[in-house]
Amino acid sequence: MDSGGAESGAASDRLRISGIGASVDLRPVGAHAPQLLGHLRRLWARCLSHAGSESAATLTVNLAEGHADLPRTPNALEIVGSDLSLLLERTTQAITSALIAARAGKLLMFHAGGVSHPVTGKSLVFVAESRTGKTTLAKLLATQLGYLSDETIGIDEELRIHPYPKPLSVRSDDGHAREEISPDALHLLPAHEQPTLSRLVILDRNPSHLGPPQVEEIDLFDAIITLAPQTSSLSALPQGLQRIADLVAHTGSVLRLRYAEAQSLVPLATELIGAPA
Amino acid sequence: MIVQLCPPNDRLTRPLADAGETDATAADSLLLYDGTIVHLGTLGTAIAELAEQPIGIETLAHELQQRFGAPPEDLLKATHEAVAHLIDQAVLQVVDSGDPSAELGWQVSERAAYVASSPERVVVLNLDRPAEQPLAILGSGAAIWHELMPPEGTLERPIRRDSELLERLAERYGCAQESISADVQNFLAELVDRGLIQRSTDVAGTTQAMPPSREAPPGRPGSQ
Repeated sequence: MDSGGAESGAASDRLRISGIGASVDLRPVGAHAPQLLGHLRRLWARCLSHAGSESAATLTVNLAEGHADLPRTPNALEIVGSDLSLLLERTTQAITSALIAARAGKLLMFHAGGVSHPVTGKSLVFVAESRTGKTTLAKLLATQLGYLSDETIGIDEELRIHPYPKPLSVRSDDGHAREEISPDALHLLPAHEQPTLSRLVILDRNPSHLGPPQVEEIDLFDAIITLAPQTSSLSALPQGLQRIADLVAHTGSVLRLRYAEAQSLVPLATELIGAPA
Repeated sequence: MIVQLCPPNDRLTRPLADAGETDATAADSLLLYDGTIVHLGTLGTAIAELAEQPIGIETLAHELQQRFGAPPEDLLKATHEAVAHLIDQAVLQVVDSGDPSAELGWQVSERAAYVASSPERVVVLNLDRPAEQPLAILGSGAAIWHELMPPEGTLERPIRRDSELLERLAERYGCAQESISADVQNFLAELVDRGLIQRSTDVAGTTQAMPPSREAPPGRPGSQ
């Protein structure tokens, strides 16, 4: 335990949050700071850092009445808003941006969800554009497989995945508002301690797709071209294209999964990384 | 026009499965730039490789013809179009849009035989025109010829650009390049007329003579 306070590695008025191998400090401010701290500690329980991690940035979060809710601003260090749900969502986005910035040039990072086998650590990473099925699939698969992330997957040269078990942005029942929900509240399994990439797939969800999921092996260059827009800071990574090519050489062709319902992908997922015990 | 590859952050090149009779080696390649990936086919990949260092369109066209054979349409036009497309994609940048022959240099013709009896005197003969009187070059003309001769101990005829020649001569005679430029150009033009030197480019260590811009008048004594 760090000597700094109640929170390991951070003062008690802030949370040190770790993901994809980096850390940021989150500091609620303003009249509602104690309430916010409670919310954030609960939502980010799985990312609360161990002692010794260095913070790459400090983000302040302020729930302030009468304050216009700011639009999404990547790399913002101050998150202010009057709507709690929106504020928490913006906070998640800001944390993700800060962590990605801290790992630029070091990790191969994808907009992707991922799950790990609880025993072997073999991991399935599913790449998709924002709001096209990552969270839904992560939420579903991680009831049997370890939850790595529903948004950002960082992979190092040895194909080790640096988990980022962030809160999930889940659409409420009315289909409009989004809510941040902790993986604990969704009873998702914890990530394996040393998750390693076993297979990379690209999600191609189409509600009108009929029948079982269609699985297609993608040509290496086509895969790289498709994956590139879903990477972060690829240009900053030394030999970024080669890193993707090496990854594919070790884990097999990237697969494109055409499907309608996330449920239909469960058998395929267990086939790719092994059925949980 | 001289173009050069905009250096990508990373590049992947796939070999051609069956190169067949062509000299082409790569099927396609991916070039990573900030925020974008460009997928180049066989031709684009070859151009990108050739343009690692600045290269003139004519030289590029010549190299592409060596690798792929002549295109159905005009070679230079086809090369220009391919290059224009790559410039649009920010794969190539224009280094110098000026004189298309700017990267060419002067080289002693293969058919020129000469005796350099001193730094001040050279006698030159075009072997294709045995009926012509050998040309005796004296003084500063001999100095120019010496610049074009293979360096001591080598046999390879060097290629000297105009700027390079002017620089060396101005240094040698301790004068401004501008003051000798016209005389040098006139003298070089005379040597070209006599078929003693030619415009050449140096590409990847191989010397390529460019087609002569001025044809020798027909019916000249001794010409075949």
